[in-house]
Amino acid sequence: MDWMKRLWRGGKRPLTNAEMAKARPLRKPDIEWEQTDDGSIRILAPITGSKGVFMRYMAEKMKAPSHRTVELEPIGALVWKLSDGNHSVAAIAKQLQQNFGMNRLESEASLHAFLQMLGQRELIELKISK
Amino acid sequence: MAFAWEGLALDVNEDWAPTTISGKREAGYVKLGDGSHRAIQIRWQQIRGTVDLESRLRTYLKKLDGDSRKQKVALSYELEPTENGIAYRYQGAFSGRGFASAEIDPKRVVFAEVSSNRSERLSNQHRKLLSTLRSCTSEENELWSVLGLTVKLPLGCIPAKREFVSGKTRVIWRLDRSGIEAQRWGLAAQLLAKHTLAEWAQSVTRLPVVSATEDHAVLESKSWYGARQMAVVRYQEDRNQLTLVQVSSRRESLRPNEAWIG
Repeated sequence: MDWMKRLWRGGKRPLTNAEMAKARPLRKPDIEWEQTDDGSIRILAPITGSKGVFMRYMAEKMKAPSHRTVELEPIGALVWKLSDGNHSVAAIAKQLQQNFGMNRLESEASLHAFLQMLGQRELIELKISK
Repeated sequence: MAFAWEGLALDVNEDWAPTTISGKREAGYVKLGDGSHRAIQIRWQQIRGTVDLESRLRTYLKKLDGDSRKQKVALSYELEPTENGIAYRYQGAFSGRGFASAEIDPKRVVFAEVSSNRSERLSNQHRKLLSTLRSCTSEENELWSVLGLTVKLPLGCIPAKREFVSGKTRVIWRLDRSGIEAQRWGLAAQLLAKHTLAEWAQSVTRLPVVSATEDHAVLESKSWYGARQMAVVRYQEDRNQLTLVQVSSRRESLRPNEAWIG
């Protein structure tokens, strides 16, 4: 029932490990970020919000913030800096292994989870080469 | 880096990580993967009576042939007697080369192979991956090494529980009525950035600190009914990891020490 799962996911199928390794994460262009003195990174991301007219009106009326701040500690900061569309997931995982003494499984598992989190928050997208 | 489990050790680089561990001392199976389509597989079984390695291998290869034929490719294979047993290679819908030996461990027969889920010709170099396979049991202790956690434990330990999560490897063994637990924590420098080793060790083990330095801590407590809990923690800066061995026992002789941490 693979086709049903795919249909449910809007035609998208999950990436295989090989595809994921080749994918290149890219920061969304409209996101501002700065590095702090301790090596962390502060990201200022626009809140996309609801598309409904009423909700947009209410958000404006209630003076809802237009941006949210996300702070990344040094390990996350390294991943963020390397998410420039030029480095593949495999290359970033290798960099994590070298810089932080992680083993392969460790770096891959944490990197995949971290990229998924950044993706869900619409901070990055994955460039997938065919 | 070595992978060592149930008395068998293999030197592989750290790209190779266990994907399957099953069975026990008498009979078991381990599969290591390097993230590609290749794998190292090790099977072992206790010897009862005489061992006919060739007939066992032929049974195994016949089964592989059946699997390969399901993908409409016949399996071809060769067996070659060696000093320590029998070397073999096969190629069909998938390929592999390895050996069967009763020499590595006198009490067990061991099958080891490098396999690929593709039809490719695996070179001698691939078989060399298996050349370091050896027994890691000495007269006093036995080496256990998995995902960066390396410990030398007394003989007779039986793995009871294991937990492999990102950043942490934890294995619990039973030894008679005692319990031995070993943990390996990655990103040690980051963990110790805001705490001392003693503080960290105390929060993980919940035991009082007996002595501590920058890279080593000993913790111990004794209950009113005689059960003792002892732990040794070491900060391995070169590998950016913390290794902890904790023992719960009434036996006075069973005390973890620095030599237990590899």
